[in-house]
Amino acid sequence: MEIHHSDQKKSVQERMSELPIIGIGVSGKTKSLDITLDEDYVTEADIPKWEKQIKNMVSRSDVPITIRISAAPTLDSHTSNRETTTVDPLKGGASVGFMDGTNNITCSVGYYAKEGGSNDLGFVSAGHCTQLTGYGQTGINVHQPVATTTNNIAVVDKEQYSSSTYCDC
Amino acid sequence: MYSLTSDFPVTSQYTITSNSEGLAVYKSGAKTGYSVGVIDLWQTTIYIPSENATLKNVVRNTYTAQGGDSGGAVMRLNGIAGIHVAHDASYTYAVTVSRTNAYLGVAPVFS
Repeated sequence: MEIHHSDQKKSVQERMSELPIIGIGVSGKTKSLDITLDEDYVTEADIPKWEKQIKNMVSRSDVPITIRISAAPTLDSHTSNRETTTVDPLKGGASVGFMDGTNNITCSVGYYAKEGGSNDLGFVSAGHCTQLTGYGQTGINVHQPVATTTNNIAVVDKEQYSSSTYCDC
Repeated sequence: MYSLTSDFPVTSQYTITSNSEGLAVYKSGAKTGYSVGVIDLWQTTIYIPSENATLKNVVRNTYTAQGGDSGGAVMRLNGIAGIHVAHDASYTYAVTVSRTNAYLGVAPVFS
Protein backbone atom coordinates (compact mmCIF):
# COMPACT_ATOMS: atom_id res chain seq x y z
CA MET A 1 0.00 0.00 0.00
CA GLU A 2 1.08 3.58 -0.57
CA ILE A 3 0.21 6.87 1.01
CA HIS A 4 -1.20 9.95 -0.68
CA HIS A 5 1.05 12.95 -1.14
CA SER A 6 0.20 14.95 1.96
CA ASP A 7 0.95 12.05 4.27
CA GLN A 8 3.98 10.48 2.66
CA LYS A 9 6.00 10.72 5.85
CA LYS A 10 3.54 8.57 7.75
CA SER A 11 3.09 4.85 7.24
CA VAL A 12 -0.35 3.36 6.76
CA GLN A 13 -0.02 1.84 10.21
CA GLU A 14 0.74 5.23 11.76
CA ARG A 15 -2.27 6.77 10.06
CA MET A 16 -4.45 3.83 11.03
CA SER A 17 -3.40 4.18 14.67
CA GLU A 18 -5.01 7.60 14.70
CA LEU A 19 -8.39 6.03 13.92
CA PRO A 20 -10.52 3.84 16.24
CA ILE A 21 -9.31 0.71 14.47
CA ILE A 22 -9.03 -2.50 16.50
CA GLY A 23 -8.48 -4.94 13.62
CA ILE A 24 -7.01 -4.98 10.11
CA GLY A 25 -6.80 -8.03 7.87
CA VAL A 26 -7.14 -9.51 4.42
CA SER A 27 -10.16 -11.63 3.57
CA GLY A 28 -9.34 -14.86 1.80
CA LYS A 29 -12.85 -15.10 0.40
CA THR A 30 -13.56 -11.59 -0.87
CA LYS A 31 -9.94 -10.43 -1.33
CA SER A 32 -10.90 -7.26 0.48
CA LEU A 33 -9.23 -5.19 3.16
CA ASP A 34 -11.21 -5.91 6.32
CA ILE A 35 -11.28 -3.16 8.95
CA THR A 36 -12.82 -3.52 12.42
CA LEU A 37 -13.71 -0.31 14.26
CA ASP A 38 -14.22 0.04 18.01
CA GLU A 39 -17.93 0.26 18.86
CA ASP A 40 -17.12 2.63 21.72
CA TYR A 41 -16.23 5.31 19.19
CA VAL A 42 -18.14 4.50 15.99
CA THR A 43 -21.77 3.93 15.00
CA GLU A 44 -23.21 2.26 11.91
CA ALA A 45 -24.16 5.70 10.58
CA ASP A 46 -20.50 6.70 10.63
CA ILE A 47 -19.34 3.88 8.33
CA PRO A 48 -19.48 5.80 5.01
CA LYS A 49 -17.38 8.57 6.55
CA TRP A 50 -14.78 6.12 7.86
CA GLU A 51 -14.74 4.18 4.60
CA LYS A 52 -13.98 7.37 2.68
CA GLN A 53 -11.25 8.34 5.14
CA ILE A 54 -9.60 4.92 4.96
CA LYS A 55 -9.76 4.81 1.16
CA ASN A 56 -8.07 8.20 1.06
CA MET A 57 -5.13 6.69 2.91
CA VAL A 58 -4.71 3.82 0.49
CA SER A 59 -3.51 4.79 -2.97
CA ARG A 60 -5.24 1.86 -4.64
CA SER A 61 -8.82 3.04 -4.46
CA ASP A 62 -9.98 -0.08 -6.29
CA VAL A 63 -9.17 -2.25 -3.26
CA PRO A 64 -12.51 -3.29 -1.76
CA ILE A 65 -12.89 -2.43 1.91
CA THR A 66 -15.17 -4.16 4.38
CA ILE A 67 -15.85 -2.30 7.63
CA ARG A 68 -17.16 -4.02 10.75
CA ILE A 69 -18.03 -2.49 14.12
CA SER A 70 -17.34 -4.59 17.20
CA ALA A 71 -16.42 -4.56 20.84
CA ALA A 72 -12.66 -4.80 21.29
CA PRO A 73 -11.13 -8.28 21.58
CA THR A 74 -10.01 -9.57 24.98
CA LEU A 75 -7.28 -12.03 25.84
CA ASP A 76 -8.48 -15.49 26.83
CA SER A 77 -6.50 -16.18 29.98
CA HIS A 78 -8.31 -16.07 33.33
CA THR A 79 -7.38 -15.73 36.98
CA SER A 80 -9.83 -18.12 38.62
CA ASN A 81 -9.09 -21.79 39.16
CA ARG A 82 -12.17 -23.32 37.57
CA GLU A 83 -10.73 -26.52 36.16
CA THR A 84 -10.35 -29.57 38.39
CA THR A 85 -9.30 -32.42 36.14
CA THR A 86 -5.69 -33.54 36.13
CA VAL A 87 -4.71 -34.77 32.66
CA ASP A 88 -1.99 -37.40 32.67
CA PRO A 89 -0.46 -37.90 30.18
CA LEU A 90 -0.55 -34.22 29.36
CA LYS A 91 -2.49 -33.37 26.18
CA GLY A 92 -3.14 -30.35 24.02
CA GLY A 93 -6.03 -28.33 25.43
CA ALA A 94 -5.39 -29.38 29.04
CA SER A 95 -5.68 -26.67 31.70
CA VAL A 96 -2.45 -25.32 33.19
CA GLY A 97 -1.87 -22.69 35.86
CA PHE A 98 1.03 -20.25 35.83
CA MET A 99 2.10 -19.10 39.30
CA ASP A 100 4.87 -16.92 40.72
CA GLY A 101 3.95 -17.40 44.38
CA THR A 102 1.53 -14.49 44.54
CA ASN A 103 -0.26 -14.21 41.22
CA ASN A 104 -1.70 -16.87 38.96
CA ILE A 105 -3.20 -17.23 35.49
CA THR A 106 -4.90 -20.25 33.97
CA CYS A 107 -4.53 -21.12 30.30
CA SER A 108 -4.29 -24.16 28.01
CA VAL A 109 -1.54 -26.44 26.75
CA GLY A 110 -0.78 -25.84 23.08
CA TYR A 111 1.44 -28.43 21.47
CA TYR A 112 4.47 -30.50 22.19
CA ALA A 113 7.78 -29.09 20.93
CA LYS A 114 11.54 -29.25 21.22
CA GLU A 115 13.68 -26.17 21.67
CA GLY A 116 16.32 -25.64 19.02
CA GLY A 117 19.88 -26.26 20.17
CA SER A 118 19.18 -27.68 23.60
CA ASN A 119 16.55 -30.14 22.35
CA ASP A 120 14.73 -29.56 25.63
CA LEU A 121 11.30 -31.13 25.60
CA GLY A 122 8.39 -28.88 26.41
CA PHE A 123 5.16 -27.42 25.18
CA VAL A 124 3.97 -24.13 23.74
CA SER A 125 1.22 -21.95 25.15
CA ALA A 126 0.27 -18.27 24.77
CA GLY A 127 2.83 -15.67 25.79
CA HIS A 128 0.40 -13.49 27.73
CA CYS A 129 -0.31 -16.39 30.08
CA THR A 130 2.98 -15.59 31.81
CA GLN A 131 2.16 -11.91 32.33
CA LEU A 132 1.78 -12.20 36.07
CA THR A 133 3.55 -8.95 36.89
CA GLY A 134 5.06 -7.76 33.60
CA TYR A 135 6.60 -8.54 30.25
CA GLY A 136 9.28 -11.14 29.71
CA GLN A 137 8.82 -13.23 32.81
CA THR A 138 10.56 -16.61 32.85
CA GLY A 139 11.14 -19.13 35.59
CA ILE A 140 7.46 -19.18 36.46
CA ASN A 141 6.17 -22.52 37.68
CA VAL A 142 3.51 -24.24 35.60
CA HIS A 143 1.02 -26.46 37.40
CA GLN A 144 -1.65 -28.85 36.19
CA PRO A 145 -4.61 -28.42 36.10
CA VAL A 146 -4.44 -25.07 37.94
CA ALA A 147 -2.01 -22.93 39.93
CA THR A 148 -1.58 -24.65 43.29
CA THR A 149 1.39 -25.73 45.33
CA THR A 150 1.23 -29.25 43.89
CA ASN A 151 1.72 -30.94 40.55
CA ASN A 152 4.35 -28.59 39.19
CA ILE A 153 4.91 -29.92 35.66
CA ALA A 154 7.06 -27.29 33.96
CA VAL A 155 8.91 -24.00 34.17
CA VAL A 156 8.54 -21.11 31.74
CA ASP A 157 11.67 -21.03 29.61
CA LYS A 158 10.96 -18.36 27.00
CA GLU A 159 8.27 -15.76 26.56
CA GLN A 160 7.75 -13.49 23.56
CA TYR A 161 4.68 -11.44 24.46
CA SER A 162 5.42 -7.74 24.41
CA SER A 163 4.34 -4.53 22.80
CA SER A 164 7.58 -4.41 20.81
CA THR A 165 7.50 -7.88 19.26
CA TYR A 166 3.77 -7.76 18.51
CA CYS A 167 3.74 -11.47 19.23
CA ASP A 168 1.86 -13.51 21.81
CA CYS A 169 3.89 -16.69 21.81
CA MET B 1 8.15 -22.56 25.61
CA TYR B 2 7.74 -24.42 28.85
CA SER B 3 10.35 -26.98 29.77
CA LEU B 4 8.92 -30.05 31.38
CA THR B 5 10.35 -30.70 34.82
CA SER B 6 9.40 -34.34 35.24
CA ASP B 7 8.59 -37.45 33.27
CA PHE B 8 5.18 -36.01 32.47
CA PRO B 9 4.54 -37.53 29.04
CA VAL B 10 2.94 -35.46 26.32
CA THR B 11 0.57 -36.80 23.70
CA SER B 12 -1.69 -35.30 21.07
CA GLN B 13 -5.47 -35.53 21.22
CA TYR B 14 -6.24 -33.94 17.90
CA THR B 15 -8.09 -35.87 15.23
CA ILE B 16 -7.96 -33.98 11.95
CA THR B 17 -10.59 -34.67 9.33
CA SER B 18 -11.34 -33.24 5.90
CA ASN B 19 -13.58 -30.24 5.44
CA SER B 20 -15.09 -29.11 2.16
CA GLU B 21 -14.24 -25.44 2.80
CA GLY B 22 -10.56 -26.24 2.96
CA LEU B 23 -9.87 -23.60 5.59
CA ALA B 24 -11.18 -25.55 8.55
CA VAL B 25 -9.44 -25.11 11.89
CA TYR B 26 -9.78 -27.16 15.04
CA LYS B 27 -9.16 -25.74 18.48
CA SER B 28 -8.81 -27.51 21.81
CA GLY B 29 -8.87 -25.35 24.93
CA ALA B 30 -9.33 -25.97 28.64
CA LYS B 31 -12.47 -23.86 28.96
CA THR B 32 -14.57 -24.61 25.87
CA GLY B 33 -12.91 -27.83 24.75
CA TYR B 34 -12.83 -28.92 21.14
CA SER B 35 -14.35 -26.57 18.57
CA VAL B 36 -14.36 -26.50 14.77
CA GLY B 37 -14.41 -23.31 12.67
CA VAL B 38 -12.86 -21.73 9.61
CA ILE B 39 -10.16 -19.13 9.11
CA ASP B 40 -12.07 -16.01 8.18
CA LEU B 41 -9.31 -13.42 7.87
CA TRP B 42 -5.55 -13.62 7.22
CA GLN B 43 -2.61 -11.36 8.06
CA THR B 44 -4.60 -9.67 10.73
CA THR B 45 -3.40 -7.08 13.21
CA ILE B 46 -5.57 -6.63 16.30
CA TYR B 47 -5.45 -4.05 19.05
CA ILE B 48 -6.45 -5.05 22.59
CA PRO B 49 -7.24 -1.85 24.51
CA SER B 50 -7.38 -3.53 27.92
CA GLU B 51 -3.72 -4.52 27.51
CA ASN B 52 -2.65 -1.64 25.25
CA ALA B 53 -1.24 -4.42 23.10
CA THR B 54 -1.06 -4.79 19.33
CA LEU B 55 -0.67 -8.32 17.98
CA LYS B 56 0.43 -8.96 14.40
CA ASN B 57 0.38 -12.12 12.29
CA VAL B 58 -2.98 -13.18 13.66
CA VAL B 59 -5.68 -15.23 11.95
CA ARG B 60 -9.35 -14.53 12.65
CA ASN B 61 -11.50 -17.62 13.06
CA THR B 62 -15.05 -18.79 13.72
CA TYR B 63 -14.43 -21.51 16.31
CA THR B 64 -15.64 -20.79 19.85
CA ALA B 65 -13.41 -19.82 22.78
CA GLN B 66 -13.49 -18.12 26.18
CA GLY B 67 -11.17 -17.15 29.00
CA GLY B 68 -8.93 -20.09 29.86
CA ASP B 69 -8.55 -21.28 26.27
CA SER B 70 -5.47 -19.13 25.61
CA GLY B 71 -2.53 -21.26 24.60
CA GLY B 72 -4.60 -23.99 23.00
CA ALA B 73 -3.33 -25.11 19.60
CA VAL B 74 -5.37 -24.27 16.51
CA MET B 75 -4.89 -27.00 13.91
CA ARG B 76 -5.35 -27.25 10.15
CA LEU B 77 -5.22 -30.31 7.95
CA ASN B 78 -1.59 -29.63 7.11
CA GLY B 79 -0.41 -28.85 10.62
CA ILE B 80 -0.62 -26.18 13.26
CA ALA B 81 -2.30 -22.92 12.27
CA GLY B 82 -1.58 -21.04 15.47
CA ILE B 83 -2.05 -20.56 19.18
CA HIS B 84 -5.39 -19.30 20.45
CA VAL B 85 -5.10 -15.95 22.26
CA ALA B 86 -8.28 -13.82 22.18
CA HIS B 87 -11.89 -13.38 21.14
CA ASP B 88 -14.45 -10.65 20.52
CA ALA B 89 -18.24 -10.81 20.17
CA SER B 90 -18.11 -12.52 16.77
CA TYR B 91 -14.68 -14.06 16.19
CA THR B 92 -11.71 -15.78 17.78
CA TYR B 93 -8.04 -14.99 17.18
CA ALA B 94 -4.90 -17.12 16.98
CA VAL B 95 -1.29 -16.00 16.57
CA THR B 96 0.27 -17.79 13.61
CA VAL B 97 2.72 -20.46 14.54
CA SER B 98 5.55 -19.31 12.29
CA ARG B 99 6.38 -16.62 14.83
CA THR B 100 6.65 -19.30 17.48
CA ASN B 101 8.85 -21.49 15.30
CA ALA B 102 11.27 -18.62 14.84
CA TYR B 103 12.62 -18.95 18.32
CA LEU B 104 11.97 -22.64 18.85
CA GLY B 105 14.30 -23.37 15.95
CA VAL B 106 12.56 -26.62 15.11
CA ALA B 107 9.18 -27.54 13.74
CA PRO B 108 6.58 -28.69 16.23
CA VAL B 109 6.27 -32.45 16.51
CA PHE B 110 3.34 -34.73 17.15
CA SER B 111 3.16 -37.99 19.01
